[in-house]
Amino acid sequence: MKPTKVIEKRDEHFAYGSVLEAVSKGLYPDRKHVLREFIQNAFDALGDLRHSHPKEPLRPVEITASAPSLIIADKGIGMSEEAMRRYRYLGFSEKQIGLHAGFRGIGKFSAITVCDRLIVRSSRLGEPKSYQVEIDAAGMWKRLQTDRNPPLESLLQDHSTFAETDEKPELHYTFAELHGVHGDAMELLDANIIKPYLAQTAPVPFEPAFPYGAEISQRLHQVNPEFLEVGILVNREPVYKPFLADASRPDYKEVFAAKDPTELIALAWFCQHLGKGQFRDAGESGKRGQRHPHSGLHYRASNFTIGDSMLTRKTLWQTTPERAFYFFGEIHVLDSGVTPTSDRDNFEDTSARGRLYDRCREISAVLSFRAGLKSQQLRFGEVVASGEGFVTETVKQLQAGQLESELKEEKEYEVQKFLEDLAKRLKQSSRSSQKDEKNIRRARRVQRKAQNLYGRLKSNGNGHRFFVDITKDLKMDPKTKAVYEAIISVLREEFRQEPGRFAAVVRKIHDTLRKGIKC
Amino acid sequence: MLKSPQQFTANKQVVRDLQCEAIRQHLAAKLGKLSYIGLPSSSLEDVQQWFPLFERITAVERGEAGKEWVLQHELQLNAFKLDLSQKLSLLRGDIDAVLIKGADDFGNKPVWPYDVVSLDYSGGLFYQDQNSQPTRLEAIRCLFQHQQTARASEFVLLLSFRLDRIDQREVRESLNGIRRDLKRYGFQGDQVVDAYLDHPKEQARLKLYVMHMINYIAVQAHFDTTSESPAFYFGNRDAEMMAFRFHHKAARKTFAPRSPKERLNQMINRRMIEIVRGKQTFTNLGLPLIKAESDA
Repeated sequence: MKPTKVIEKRDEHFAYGSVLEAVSKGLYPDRKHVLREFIQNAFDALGDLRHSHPKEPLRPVEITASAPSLIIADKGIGMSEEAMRRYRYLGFSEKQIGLHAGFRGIGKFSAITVCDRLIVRSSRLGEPKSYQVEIDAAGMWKRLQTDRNPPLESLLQDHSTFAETDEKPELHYTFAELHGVHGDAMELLDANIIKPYLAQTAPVPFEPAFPYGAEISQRLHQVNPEFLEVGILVNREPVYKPFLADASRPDYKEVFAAKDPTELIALAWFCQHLGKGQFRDAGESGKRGQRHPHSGLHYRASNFTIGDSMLTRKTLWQTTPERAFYFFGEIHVLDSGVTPTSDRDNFEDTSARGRLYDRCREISAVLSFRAGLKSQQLRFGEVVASGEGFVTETVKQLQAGQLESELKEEKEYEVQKFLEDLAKRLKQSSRSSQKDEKNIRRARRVQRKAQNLYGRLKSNGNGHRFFVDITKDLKMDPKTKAVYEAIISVLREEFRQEPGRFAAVVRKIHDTLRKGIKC
Repeated sequence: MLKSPQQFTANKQVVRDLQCEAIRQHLAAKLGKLSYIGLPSSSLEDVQQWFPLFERITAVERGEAGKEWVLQHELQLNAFKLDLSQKLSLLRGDIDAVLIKGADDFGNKPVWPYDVVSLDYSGGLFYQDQNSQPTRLEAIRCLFQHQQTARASEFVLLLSFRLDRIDQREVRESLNGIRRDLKRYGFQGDQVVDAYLDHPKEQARLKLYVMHMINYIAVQAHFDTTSESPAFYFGNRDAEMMAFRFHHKAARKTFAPRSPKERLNQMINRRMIEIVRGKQTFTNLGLPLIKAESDA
């Protein structure tokens, strides 16, 4: 039935204050993410400056954490009047997905959960004005409680101000102060907390001591001209991306789309632990011996960390996941279709993400192989070293005439087993694409020594006195000798699985016989 | 010497130049690495002038009652815009309270010692709190204690204030105390002290009072003092102002405080500087100089 009467429009509101709570408290349970949101804005502003004015130097972002305020200040392109007016809008952003780290227009509201007042002043390069937005966060929350969920528009309008003042056109900046940081967000004012957080998550340069930092940055820039590193100072001290010592030179892996092998969707770099197994905490973070917190690979989008090393472990490693921590490194996501979630702990569940994870499993395959190879090489080295020790010791004993004849059989067996194991490992190592030449040479030397030893054992020393024959030393008569040999035979059988114990028992018998019993 | 900006009054700029001269003269070996605590304007033009001399600047800003954050925000914003933020830190609150309590309104503490302490009070020296306690004078005493505790070897103190609500009793008692000391040391004190007490200008009495007070507070904290000629001038809105400059050097030879190194006759005989329309003139305001009893 066709409507015949137009209902008069009512004065309606379509959004209420509780939305604010959802997008602020709900999305940012970790207070430090509030800082990350402002760093993202600063990063985007600096990126825009680089685009529009490539000759302008990029100055570090300055963070001042001193009660009662947290200040994040950048000398990026700055915001225009319109952008500043819209700063107070919820969900509005002119930023582009894929080009900018932040783009949802809600990050700035994270601040209102942690402070009494947000004051932002900005001036855009070339404009003779600066603009200030002040949001009375304490007032808004109070009103939300007393007015029972007022309309969002009136809440934002009544508790925010906009002002302008003259400014030198050559100045460009954004200066954000979170004033009156709450007691439950004091970590935001603790440089010892925010520095390591930013070191792990923000697009900062590598520590100068890391010998491969410049190389990695250059490589990333080659595949992604948008790649940007931004200096950050926290209370006048620079923040750097951490690295782990005792690591190999970085290696790189480009990941392409399955359907289009020319479409680069990610670039990974990784450094392998030169020691055995996983990177271990040497005690710097108070957890000596445990897996190092900086180990593993991290996803990065626009050079911001997404999730943690467990995310890559979970999404890429189907077998031997512990090998993820034999490395440290990053996977820079270059596919603009892959979008981080609001809280940046994963990517949004889309087909693009599925494709990314699927293709990036190549990385874990490479790393797993490398880790296996490394383990093999390390084990090879250990076998060679311990074998060399064993051979040297046995030769010494023989030359000194200290080796009991009862143990000859066992020694022959040990040397034979060692030679077989060594031959197998030598064959493996010689075939490997990453030969450990030094170890191979050492292994061949030890092999020759062991073969020589084996020959001498088999030939009973070629006429030289090699073995200690207690039956001869004590001049045992044939009957006594027969009894003695029977006992030794039983003991040998009994201790077949414990050759070390058999040797100890034989030595004890010899000592006892020499001390007191005369045949 | 840095170029003078135009935003200070001509008289104030002369004072600034005299202060800069004192810093350069007494702290020549450390120029470029000096530390400073004081009350810069939120626009920071004063700090900007002297910036190359300093490695570390602590600015104290109280802000306006009820909206303190406005000026404090402005100060930090300007520091950032002017590329001063790497050297500058902010303490929020009244400087006297900071000196007395040892921290600002939010528990942030100054990092002692400082090479230059600038107490540029817009009000009078004899300001009292609600309990009638002389807060400013107490703050100056605490300043010396902080410097002593931090084992400052030397520093320059710049003190300026309005001639506002002078505690006449305090000043007169102090000058009469000087009279007794002068007699004790063999000087003809009565005539001189009476001339100061009867002088039509407060500047005369304050010259002696402040120099004497600072010397004695300093010596309690084991600092010897050298006073420069105090200046007097009209500042903004024709406010009568005085500006003092002192150099203090640590003197820790004995546990017990000794007498001030600067003698009373030196303080009395030190001329003043009158600044009028940006020009400075040395003057003694017609006051007599001190002679020893033996000279009589």
